[in-house]
Amino acid sequence: MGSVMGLLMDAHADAHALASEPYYHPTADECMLFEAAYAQRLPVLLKGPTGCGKTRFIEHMAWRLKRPLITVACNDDTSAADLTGRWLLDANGTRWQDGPLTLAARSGAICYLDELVEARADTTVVMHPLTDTRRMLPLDKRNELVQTHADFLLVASYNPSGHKELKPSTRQRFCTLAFTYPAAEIEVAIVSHEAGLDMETAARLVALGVRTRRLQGHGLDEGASTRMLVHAGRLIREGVPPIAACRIAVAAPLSDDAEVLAALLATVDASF
Amino acid sequence: MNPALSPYLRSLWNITPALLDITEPQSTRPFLSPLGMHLPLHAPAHVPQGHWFQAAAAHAAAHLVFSQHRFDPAGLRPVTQALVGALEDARVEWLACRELPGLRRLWLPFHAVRLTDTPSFEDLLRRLARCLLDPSHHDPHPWVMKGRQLFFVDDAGEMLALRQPEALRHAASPLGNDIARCACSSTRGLTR
Repeated sequence: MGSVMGLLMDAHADAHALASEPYYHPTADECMLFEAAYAQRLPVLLKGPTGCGKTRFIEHMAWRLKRPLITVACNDDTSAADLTGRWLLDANGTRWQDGPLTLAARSGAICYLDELVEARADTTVVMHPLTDTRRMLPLDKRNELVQTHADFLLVASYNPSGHKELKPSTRQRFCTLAFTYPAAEIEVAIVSHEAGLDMETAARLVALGVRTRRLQGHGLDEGASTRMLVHAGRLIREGVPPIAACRIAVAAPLSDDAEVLAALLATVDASF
Repeated sequence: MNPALSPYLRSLWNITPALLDITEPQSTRPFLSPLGMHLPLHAPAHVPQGHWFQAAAAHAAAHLVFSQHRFDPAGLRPVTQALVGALEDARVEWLACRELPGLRRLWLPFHAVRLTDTPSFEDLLRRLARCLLDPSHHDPHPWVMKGRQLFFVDDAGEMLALRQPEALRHAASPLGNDIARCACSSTRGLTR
């Protein structure tokens, strides 16, 4: 039974292998640092504002390290059982279904808990023994203690601009790679590549992004992310005029405050 | 005061001047002082009302960003002073538009000109300002064309010739002399 389950789980994990290299433009030495952390199997926390490339980075690193990547988008309903697994009832009776964290731990995948801070507090109970030298995952409901696969790594992301904070007892278990928006030159290259735009238009979009970020702490929690600029670029690529593209992909999503939105729209108008 | 102006200027140029009301109801001319940016309570009656405050604030902000030297009018005739001021306005607007080309669209409605057979000095100044903001605009008047040639290095208006304050004075001088020579009140020699 165990071996059959094992085969099934391996097949599941393989389904999470990345078929081709995800595009990622390094901004500093983050790739080298991550590889070093992986070599030592140290859990990694990716910290940074939304849309700055954290998820793309982990996809790229999973591909480089040739490990399957199992991603969980955490939300306020995400519980420990959602991560570890649960008993299910089917025509043949009850059977255990591994959750994504257990699947990754058994099969040696990288488990990426996106926006970990959003998950319920009980998730920390299962995470703590995984993130210290024990590298174990207790499955209380199954009365099993899973010894993790040698290649397994736990990675989480966290946006410090949000309204929730990670507890120190959780944070201190991770090495932390701090991400921010890339330097302008790099961001232009990213937007140009991702949106399929010429460098000049990409530079205009990035300049707009930089301008919106000046309002961070002055009406905005965060300015335009690289992802938003790529979205605007894709609309332009589709033939949408730049001002219209930036209005719907950058200005409108950033704020509902009438004054800040008016300033953002006027900045978009000035930019093209 | 439009409350969106402050985040607008911060976002455009990363500047946060104090925005102050001009309390004299008759005054409609914005100005800068060590205290901040002074804007009138009402837009002038004869200009498009829609984006006047935004345009005025963006223009004043362009001076804050690009006018590195305070203009010293000492020893200059009033006509030359007016010309230096107009050329400096055009210079900061051109530099601002290089980074934010949409500002040209914002400012152009306030550069409407009327072509008359006997233009006054003020008319010519407006026509020159219009040409300098929008290099694709053609004005056949020889004095306006001369001003344009002094302002730009190239015919397309893509390279600025007047980069330093001294250059502004040097360009204003011959233009002012032309005005004086042609007896501006009749503008006979300037007629086109």
